[in-house]
Amino acid sequence: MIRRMLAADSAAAVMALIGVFVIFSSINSRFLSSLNINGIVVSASISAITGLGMTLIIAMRALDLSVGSIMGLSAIVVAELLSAGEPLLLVIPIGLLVGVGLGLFNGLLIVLLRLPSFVATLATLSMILGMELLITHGETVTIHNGVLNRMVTGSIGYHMPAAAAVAAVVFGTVGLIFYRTPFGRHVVAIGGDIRAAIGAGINVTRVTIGAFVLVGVCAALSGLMAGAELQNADSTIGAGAELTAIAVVVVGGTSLTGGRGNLFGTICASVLLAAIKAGLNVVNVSSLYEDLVFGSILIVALMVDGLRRGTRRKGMLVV
Amino acid sequence: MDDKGEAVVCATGMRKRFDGVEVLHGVDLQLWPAEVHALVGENGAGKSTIINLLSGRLRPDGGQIEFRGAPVEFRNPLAARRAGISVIAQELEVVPTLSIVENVFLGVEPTRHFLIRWAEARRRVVEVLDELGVHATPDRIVGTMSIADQQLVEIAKAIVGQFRVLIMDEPTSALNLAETERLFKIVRRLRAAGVAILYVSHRLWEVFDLADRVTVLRDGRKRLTSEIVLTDVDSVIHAMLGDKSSLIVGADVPRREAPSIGQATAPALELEAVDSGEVLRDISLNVRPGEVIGLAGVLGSGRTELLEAVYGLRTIDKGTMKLSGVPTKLTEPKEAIRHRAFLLPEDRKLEGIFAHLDVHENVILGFDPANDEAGQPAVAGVDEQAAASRRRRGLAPIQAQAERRAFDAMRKMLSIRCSGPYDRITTLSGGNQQKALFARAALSHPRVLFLSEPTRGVDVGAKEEIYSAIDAFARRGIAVVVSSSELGELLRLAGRIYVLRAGRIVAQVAAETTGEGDILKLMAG
Amino acid sequence: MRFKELEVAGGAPEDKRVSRPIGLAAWLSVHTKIRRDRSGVWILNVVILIFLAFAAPNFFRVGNIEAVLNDTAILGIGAAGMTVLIIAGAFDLSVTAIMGLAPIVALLVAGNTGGVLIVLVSVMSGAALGIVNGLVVTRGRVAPFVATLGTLFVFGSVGAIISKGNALTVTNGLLLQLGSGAVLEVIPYSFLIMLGVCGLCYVLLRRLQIGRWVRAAGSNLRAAHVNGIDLHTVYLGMFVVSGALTGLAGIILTGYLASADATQAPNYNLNAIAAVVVGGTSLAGGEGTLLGTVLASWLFAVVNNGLVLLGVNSYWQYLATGVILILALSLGLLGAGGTLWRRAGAPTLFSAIGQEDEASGNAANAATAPADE
Repeated sequence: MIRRMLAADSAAAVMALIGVFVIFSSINSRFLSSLNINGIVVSASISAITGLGMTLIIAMRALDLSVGSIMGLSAIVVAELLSAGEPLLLVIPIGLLVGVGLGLFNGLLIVLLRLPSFVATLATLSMILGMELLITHGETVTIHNGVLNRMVTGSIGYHMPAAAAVAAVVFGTVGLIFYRTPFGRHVVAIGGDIRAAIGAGINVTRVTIGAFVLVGVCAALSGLMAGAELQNADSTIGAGAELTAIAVVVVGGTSLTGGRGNLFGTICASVLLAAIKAGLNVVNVSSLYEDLVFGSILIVALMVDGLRRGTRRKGMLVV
Repeated sequence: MDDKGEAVVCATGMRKRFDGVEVLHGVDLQLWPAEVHALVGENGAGKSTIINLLSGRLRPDGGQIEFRGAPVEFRNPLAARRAGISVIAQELEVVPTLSIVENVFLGVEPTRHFLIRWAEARRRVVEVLDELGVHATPDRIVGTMSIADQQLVEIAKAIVGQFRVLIMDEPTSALNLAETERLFKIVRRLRAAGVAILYVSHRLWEVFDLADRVTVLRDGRKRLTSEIVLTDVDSVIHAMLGDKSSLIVGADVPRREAPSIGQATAPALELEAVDSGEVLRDISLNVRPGEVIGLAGVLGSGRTELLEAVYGLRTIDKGTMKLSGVPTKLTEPKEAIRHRAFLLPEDRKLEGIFAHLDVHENVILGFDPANDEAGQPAVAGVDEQAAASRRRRGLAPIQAQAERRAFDAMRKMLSIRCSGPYDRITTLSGGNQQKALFARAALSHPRVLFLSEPTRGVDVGAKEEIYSAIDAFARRGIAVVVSSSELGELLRLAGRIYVLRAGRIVAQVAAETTGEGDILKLMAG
Repeated sequence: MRFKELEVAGGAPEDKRVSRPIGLAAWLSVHTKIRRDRSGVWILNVVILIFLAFAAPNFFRVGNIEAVLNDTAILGIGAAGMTVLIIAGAFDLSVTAIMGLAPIVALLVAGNTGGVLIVLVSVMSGAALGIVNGLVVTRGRVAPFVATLGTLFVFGSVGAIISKGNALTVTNGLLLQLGSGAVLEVIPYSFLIMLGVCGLCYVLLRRLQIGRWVRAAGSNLRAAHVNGIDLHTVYLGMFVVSGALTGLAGIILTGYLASADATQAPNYNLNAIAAVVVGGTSLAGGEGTLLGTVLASWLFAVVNNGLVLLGVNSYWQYLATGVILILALSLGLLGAGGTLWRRAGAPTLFSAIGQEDEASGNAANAATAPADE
């Protein structure tokens, strides 16, 4: 399993990450300050959790465009329940259940109506966003719960940010599921060669629904962590997160054609993205440049990957 | 026979119809334990259909299949596999991105508390791989292995899943000699273990090496079933081909005569000592304008690769290719077409037909009304002009009238049967679809025409029409290269036939003086 | 005679099992020329219009219709470009960014000159951005989905940077007219432009050589390559078309809003794709319908407008969009002899290679009909 994680696929992400660290820290050593690193870790943890779930979906050769909306809705639900005085111990599981329910909905849409996952989750992206706005009436809900906030921004021991601990647990769990359960292997098999998967007796329906439930939970967790960090929740949480998640997974080395999943790469790419944001901040470059850098890295990483894999395919624009 | 005296599989009177045409006319077949039963026949004889019926991919329209004494009806391939009938198809059913152990145990992973017991799985896989003689660790990604090894992974999967019947469809088509030997050893071991093996192959020498019994199919009927020791190659060939030595109904067609073209004309295509990839070695051939040559060889002999190499779909690593006397290097099909070559691929669904376009558009695709009949010689230098004008031509309006005229002319010339030019091409029969592709080829004014399996999936009547069209092309001075697995077709069409085996040309024969049996022997080696 | 037997329409044996059609979609396909799998958008349009006639008759006021038509046009122009690209088998996720960047460039470069020039510069900028997309795909060998995902980030960033995060104000009269003016007070100029654009796209797809190549490439990429179609030209060209049309839509939106902002069209990419899909064009490529795209853009505009008129909280429009998307695609399949329910399918991404059908079928039901062997 360790060997798998360090596969060459994620080389681009790792190299870019190292490069970014080197460049920024040499421009301004404040980049390496514990405050900055802490910020990077928290931000990366939140986006990595969704990214991990998305890695499975992409390995299955599908897409989940609704993760951003799921993030938002779960954050809002949690915020509303806390405002209503419900205990944290109850609210957190409910927030995660939101993810389960929405993931289930996505999965059913896809298998029952035979909608392509792109279209189905495009629809639910919209629908869930609508639900978010209806609940909040477009306003922001404040979260007054200090415990929740510390669970994300606080530290365990002296150095380990709590958010990273959560991300580590998720990484471990998703990794276990992905590499060591039949379900995880079936997910990859479906993405790799669906004919062979069906021929081997894999129940595609069940695996599909399961995968979308999993990514739903991940997105819900990310969402409530994002809300906890900001101490409030509104419909901007998670806006656009789906495309970022896809970008992170792809830069991390997972191919959109499915059949493979690089969880470690996804984590690296999440850290990369967070590092770019923080780095630009530290060197006083406008945050407007973030997307430019990340987008360029995405394109370059894929061109390199294409070259690596496709040198023998002459002139074909095959995916 | 086992001590119960019962065949593992007993199929009687199997019939199958496609689109109203019956392709299997009541075939009986029995598979006994601990036996290798070979199934042979030419293309179109019905071998694939039988495989699909026995393995649950298709359901018979008539007859009955009994498995271990009880009648069965497999609803899908999975049911057949669970019952114990495994198929190693020509298209391998492995997930290339997963490892060996993951593939072998796909769907049947050993678990404890929901987690896969990899250690145990790996141990089992190592055992099986050892038995099969595959030198690979269980974690090797299957996609990185050779086709031969991937095949063995499939066999490993079957072994682990426990099976009684193994059906192998042309298993050696992609294997070299050593790999084939290895496979045979394994097959023999499986036989000794009591498995019933149905071995479908074109390669008669393999059949006689490996099998215990052989059944020959021709035109959807069983013509011969015999113990191997009681028959010989010639009888089998005779059963395969019948009294007539060609597949054209009622035809006693005179063989094509040697071309009467002057020797001074430069060959339209010439290959000298060409190597390509890992498949082709030292290929030398030539075709003159107006000549039709044939390429014969079993699956995997390099015919397909050869056509890909001359068309720019594959690199030529050594040797030279000359078109009309000019040395040429092609890097993509577009260039080949510019040099006035055209290929009709063997899988028209994959590489020929545009399902969303109508018939007329499929035909008209490359047609440029501005080019006259003679066409210009495409020599480097005119290339630039050609490229620029082509781009312009992309923006050029469709000249509906000229296209319609060209389409109608082609339709008439080739007798394409469709109710109108705007039919979806998928509503045409196989023969008419193929004719549409011929029309497309004709409209590109080629000087060299490559045909790969030109009458695959084409009914008999259309076959004859296609043959006439090919004759017509040759008469117009086009050099034609026909690659086909139907020997009768090659003899009917070509003046000279090159026989390929294992990526090399082993013989060049004149159609006039050669028979199908001779060619078969050359192909078989 | 044998020929007659063989001439009868081919196709998988299971097609013949669909006997009596039931359901609205099937009825439509039988009694009109509308294909069953494209009928969803027609049905929804009719149903919603009838509903509005009773529930919110002021929908049909001239001023309102004008607004709806304007909305339709702004989405429709970009969606038309997207339709062409999807038919070619590709995608353009960067249109959201182009909607902002192209007008900003136009205003910065030509803001003080005539309105016509501004529009032209916006279109050309869009085209230039399309060239970038096309190059990344053809020369960089990156798949369209990911390539345009990357350019989405890049273009978006550039837009924000050069506008310094601010919105640019529009003072040019022509531009304002373009965005809000109308013929006879009811048909907006933008709508007329959209009709013109659709006409041009139709000509491109059906009357020019390149259109055939586009459809061929979308239908069967491999075959297109083998048969010598210049794929570089095709994809570069179609990305330019999409970019240019998006630049046009963007400048019209700017005229309407009287300002140019880098994020003035949030989620435009997803909305455009939704319009294309709801209209009946298949994501797998090879064929499509511009009329469907227009109808779908109209549908979305109507629904959003209708919700406002009904006094419904405008947040419901997001829900409505999602429901419409689902309904439009499923309606066409309902009652079609069980196509809908019978085979629970695998998730598919989208496919530029046309593997979608193969992947979403069940191997057991795939009726192979080899005519040889």
